Amino acid sequence: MTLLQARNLRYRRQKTVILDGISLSFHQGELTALLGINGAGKSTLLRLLLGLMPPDEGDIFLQNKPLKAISRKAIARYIAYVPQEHKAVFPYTVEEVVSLGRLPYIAFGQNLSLADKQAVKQALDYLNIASLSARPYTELSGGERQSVLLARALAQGSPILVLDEPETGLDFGQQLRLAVLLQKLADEGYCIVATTHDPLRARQIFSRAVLLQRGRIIADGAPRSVLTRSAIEALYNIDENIALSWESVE
Amino acid sequence: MGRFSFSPSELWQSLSYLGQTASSSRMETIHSIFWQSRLPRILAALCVGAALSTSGAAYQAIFRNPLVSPGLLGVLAGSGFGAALSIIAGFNPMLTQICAFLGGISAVLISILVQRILGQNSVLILIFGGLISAAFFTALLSILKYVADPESQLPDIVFWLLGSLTQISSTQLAMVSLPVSGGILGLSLAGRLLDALSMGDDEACTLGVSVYYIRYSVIAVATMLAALTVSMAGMIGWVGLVVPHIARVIGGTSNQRVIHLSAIIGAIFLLLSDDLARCLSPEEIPVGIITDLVGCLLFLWVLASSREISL
Repeated sequence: MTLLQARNLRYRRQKTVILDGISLSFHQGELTALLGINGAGKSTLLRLLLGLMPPDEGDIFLQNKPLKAISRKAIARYIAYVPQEHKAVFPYTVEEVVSLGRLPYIAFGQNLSLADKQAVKQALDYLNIASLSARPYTELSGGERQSVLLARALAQGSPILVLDEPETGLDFGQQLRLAVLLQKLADEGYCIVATTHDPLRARQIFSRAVLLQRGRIIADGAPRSVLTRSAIEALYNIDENIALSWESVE
Repeated sequence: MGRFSFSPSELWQSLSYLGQTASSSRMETIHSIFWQSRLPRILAALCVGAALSTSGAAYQAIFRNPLVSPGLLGVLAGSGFGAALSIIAGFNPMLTQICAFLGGISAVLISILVQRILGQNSVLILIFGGLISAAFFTALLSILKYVADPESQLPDIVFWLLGSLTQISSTQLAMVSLPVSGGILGLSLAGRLLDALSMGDDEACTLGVSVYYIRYSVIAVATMLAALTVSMAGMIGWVGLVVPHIARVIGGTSNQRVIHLSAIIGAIFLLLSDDLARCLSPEEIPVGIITDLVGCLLFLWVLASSREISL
């Protein structure tokens, strides 16, 4: 089932075209990787899909309704965002950060209901971070902070998860655990879209890869067919010597 | 407490004489002092302290910066200029307070105007707008101080800028108590939204918060609170900066609790500071001096004892 659809998106920053002719559909249970060099337009595409800014041309549809016609709160019930892990300014506890995921369901000035608290608890349990509930978010490691942000997205109860370079700052083990988790979530029906700088991992864990170059889609399909050696060399401007080392890694 | 002292039992006696004709002259004096001077001043201290503290807490959350105080967008400088202008023009105290309020609001509007002229919606540009606005009104204030009559007007301006609760009347207190209470209540209801905003605009937006609407609404309310305090009591520093930190040390970071606790602690802090201002010397010390001295010591304590500031 198509949950999110971009139709012929075009976005300019001053006179520079950042994205051009982007048409994509994202489906339930799909784990999509957006790949491209820095400046290819991945983050801009994510921001457009999240409704953080409007495209200059084209439209985005959320369950067949134009995104621009949907309220911020309603969008948040359908699309959850996991930013790159960051250090917050104020030392909120882990539980407080995850509780923010219930904001789309709370009226102004209202407290969390029992159902909201239950959703927060389930998200903490799902990510195995219930023991960190009372810890200040600012004192956690990069991997733990990433888990907290993922738990917040799950507490949000949205069927679409958008992740911005989720592996940034994670060690090897944490990256593997994240990969398993994303696959599990996709198997449960979540539609997941993530930017990544790691084509090798994308081949292993994602069910779909979209390659962006200079704001245009140059390939879209199953990772093993899209992320070929020649495609990766072309995408990342890799010369032969470096390509050999990539081959050895593969 | 104060120059005319009376015991709590005398106060109770005087209150129980209320409406009766057979009261002693001392009881009448106590009754009159309590109702016309002491009580309005106590309530004013509570009101100003609570307003400044909640305003500071809201500003810190909105600007994601624990070192921000209500003066960030130039409200204090603008209010100072408005009051000085009124003093030089020979307006009465009530008009001076209105001019101070309008000056504070104007300064914040200029900050926002600068942001609009630069065509950017970022918080950083708004802060730059605040710096420009504050510098502009500080310069205008300096000009007024320069041209003010050094015998009559300048001391009034300086005393007003130092911050004091001596000028507050019951009428004025009645006028401001409603917007101050409403403002504090509004900010406390917005506590969760402030939590989301303090995580960053993008995150707040994807959590369902209408970022620009909420941000400017909170800035409007926090600015109104700060401008009202300056119009009532002049420039009282440090309360808006330090009290939210104390609230976080005591009650945690969630802004629902921070706003409530800031209001309570700020009210008590300014009441005690005002008591000190009246009792430390035969001549009353402007309360702004006390809050500056106590505030910086408290801030040092907060920095030493908390782990909260992550810069």
